[in-house]
Amino acid sequence: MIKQFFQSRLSIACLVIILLFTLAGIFAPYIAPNDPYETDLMNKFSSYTREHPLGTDQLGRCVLSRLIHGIRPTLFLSLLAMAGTITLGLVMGILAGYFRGWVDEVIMRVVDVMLSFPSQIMILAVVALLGIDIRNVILANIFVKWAWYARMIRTTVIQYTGKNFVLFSKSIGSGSPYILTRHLLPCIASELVVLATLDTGWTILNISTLSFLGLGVQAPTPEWGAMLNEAKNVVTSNPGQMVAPGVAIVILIAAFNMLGDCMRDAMDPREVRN
Amino acid sequence: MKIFTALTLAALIFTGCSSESGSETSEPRTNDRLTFVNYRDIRDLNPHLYAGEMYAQEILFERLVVLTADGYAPSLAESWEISEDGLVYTFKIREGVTFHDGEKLDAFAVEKNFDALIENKARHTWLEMMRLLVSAEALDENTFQITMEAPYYPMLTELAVTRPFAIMSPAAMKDGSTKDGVEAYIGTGPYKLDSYVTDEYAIFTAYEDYWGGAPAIKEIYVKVIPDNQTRILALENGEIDLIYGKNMLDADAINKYSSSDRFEVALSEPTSTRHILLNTQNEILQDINVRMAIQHATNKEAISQGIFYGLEKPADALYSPTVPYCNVPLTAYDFNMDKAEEYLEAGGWILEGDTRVKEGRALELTLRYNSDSVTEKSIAEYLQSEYRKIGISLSILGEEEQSYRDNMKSGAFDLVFNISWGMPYDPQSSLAAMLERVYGDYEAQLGIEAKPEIDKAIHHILTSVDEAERQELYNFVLRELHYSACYLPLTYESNKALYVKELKNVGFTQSQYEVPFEKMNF
Repeated sequence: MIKQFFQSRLSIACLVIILLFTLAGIFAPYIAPNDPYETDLMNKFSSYTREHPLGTDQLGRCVLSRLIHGIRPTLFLSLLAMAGTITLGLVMGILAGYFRGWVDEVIMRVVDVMLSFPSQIMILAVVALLGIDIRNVILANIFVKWAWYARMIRTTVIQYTGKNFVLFSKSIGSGSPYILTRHLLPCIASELVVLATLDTGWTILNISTLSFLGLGVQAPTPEWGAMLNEAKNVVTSNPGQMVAPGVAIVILIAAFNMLGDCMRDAMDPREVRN
Repeated sequence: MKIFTALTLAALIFTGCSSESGSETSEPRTNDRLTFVNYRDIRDLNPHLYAGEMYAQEILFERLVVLTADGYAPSLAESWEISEDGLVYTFKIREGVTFHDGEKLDAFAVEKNFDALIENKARHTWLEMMRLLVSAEALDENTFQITMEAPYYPMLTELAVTRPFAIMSPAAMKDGSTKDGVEAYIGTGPYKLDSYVTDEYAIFTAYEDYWGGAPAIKEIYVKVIPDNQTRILALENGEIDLIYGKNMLDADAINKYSSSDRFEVALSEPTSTRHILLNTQNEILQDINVRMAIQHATNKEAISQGIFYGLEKPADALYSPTVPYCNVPLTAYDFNMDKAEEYLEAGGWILEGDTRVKEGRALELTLRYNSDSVTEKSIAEYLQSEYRKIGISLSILGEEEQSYRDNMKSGAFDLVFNISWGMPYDPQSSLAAMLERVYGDYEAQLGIEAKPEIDKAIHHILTSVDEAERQELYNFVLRELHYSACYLPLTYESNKALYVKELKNVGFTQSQYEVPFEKMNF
């Protein structure tokens, strides 16, 4: 499977892109040419120069520096939200799928309730309830998304619980924790990775959307969605402002989505060949 | 799939706003229909209350007198006389004026309006004139008389403001009362309200029997478009003809269209002062050193040039020296970061990392701005980055207009954007409003030691009869307010208009809230 995955040039390209963004984010202070908070009103909306490779924004701040520093909230907060979602979903899904009975009933009814709400609107509602803050946005994301994972993981767990090697392990007296961590977790891990990769794109978009609407990351912290929002305010006079953050979001999300697709193809070889 | 979503999002931003009304643009321009735009709904236009949009109240209703650049001018009152002791005002009501519903305007109708106002007197006492009012009665059909308790020099100015002294048809009142709403918005103005849909549009049509002659533009269609860029795109697409108002246009747009051959730009004389209110009750801001530091750390010249392209001049005092009685010699706070730091050091604020700290309390403040305003956010972000340099951590918080005003009134702010009221309210009415919780001024000033004296002086100003004494009191009040550093003046704001070339005679009046539609034509 891994070999299949690395044969595809697209998947490697996507991996490289994501890796580059991650590194740029981690080493942002060293890479960025200017201080992202440094304003220079006399030099606003300047075009591409050596000093400001992507020009300056409405306060004369370097767009490239803001873009690079913006990777931190945009990408890393999304990954954080993703990690939280997966952890919660995993615990709930395994509990429900392995123990069945009333545990399953309770968890799955809660999941049903969660799934019956449109997720975007739920997130808006949760953020409005908790107050405008990026921490609350992440909480809301986890709160709304975990149910999808719980349901998927439960199904997979049930599927594997019936397999012979698990039954055998049970019959020789392995305890539940042992079976869960040694047999089931590795089996569902690959599927989980694919789903998580596909969904990271969604999360990035979501956090950026909320920042665009003014509910997520607050000024002056550079964040791509918030940068788009500021660019929107000058769309008629300086339309070029939208390009940098817009393109950055498209590239990163496209990379995540295509990577997810490639992983799925690698896992299911039949689909690739027809 | 998700890429697609991202692309659609981007596409929506560019086009979404204009796609719905393509049919209207194809219509040929009829010469008597003007499409105007406002950022919010007309709301409750009851002329005796304060909720409605003022441009709409101005074209529907009229007052007894109006204020022009040359002084008071007759409106519904043809002429007036003031008794020698300054207590009795006798107005001769114009003959042949009818309301939009056909009712005749006479002194008795005016009296009914004043009765309704007096019934809700507490709501109007921000105008000193209302507090000093003894009686308002019709002597006969054409004579109306107002008696005051004490002589009050800005009496006619206050009668001339948009509200609450606008005259409406008594037939539209609820049992002679207006404080709980009115049946219909019926006045004597050049336009009448035809129909409206909340948050979508309002249509005004010309009142053909208007005493001053029917206006050239027969129909005004007002669209509600909250977003600045959407408004400009709509203008570009020919969906609207005119954008008008202080907070409706950003300087970048003005700059872009000033040399356009399709659109005209107009700017009024400075109308009011854009400033920031520092809440002296706040535990950090009650320290005068912090307030002084903020004054000196603010580069007004950079704001004027950088954000407004010089369209708005930097302001050194709460009121422009051109405002009556306000040419008071005051020492402006110059932009000097070193001085600002000295003040903070003197106040005991020690730099720890990025932020200054005093006795375990970090120098953290919040600046609230009105998110419906097109430039306040940029200024706020600029100040945020400037103050960071001297160790003041400023967070900024945008709020929708109504909650922004509510928070201001209740004093729930550290720093907040504010405007002086402009002519004809400045300085007497806006100073009078500092005596009570009208806007944020009252709460912001409570921490000033001299507040009781300032209040006393304002009371004196309003009832003073001696010109020299009045000027002396104004000097005192303005000096105290200036040197207490609780007002941070930024720029002198102008009224702005952007409109299609075909539209003629777009001008500005003394009141910055009025749009003089009746003078315009294509």
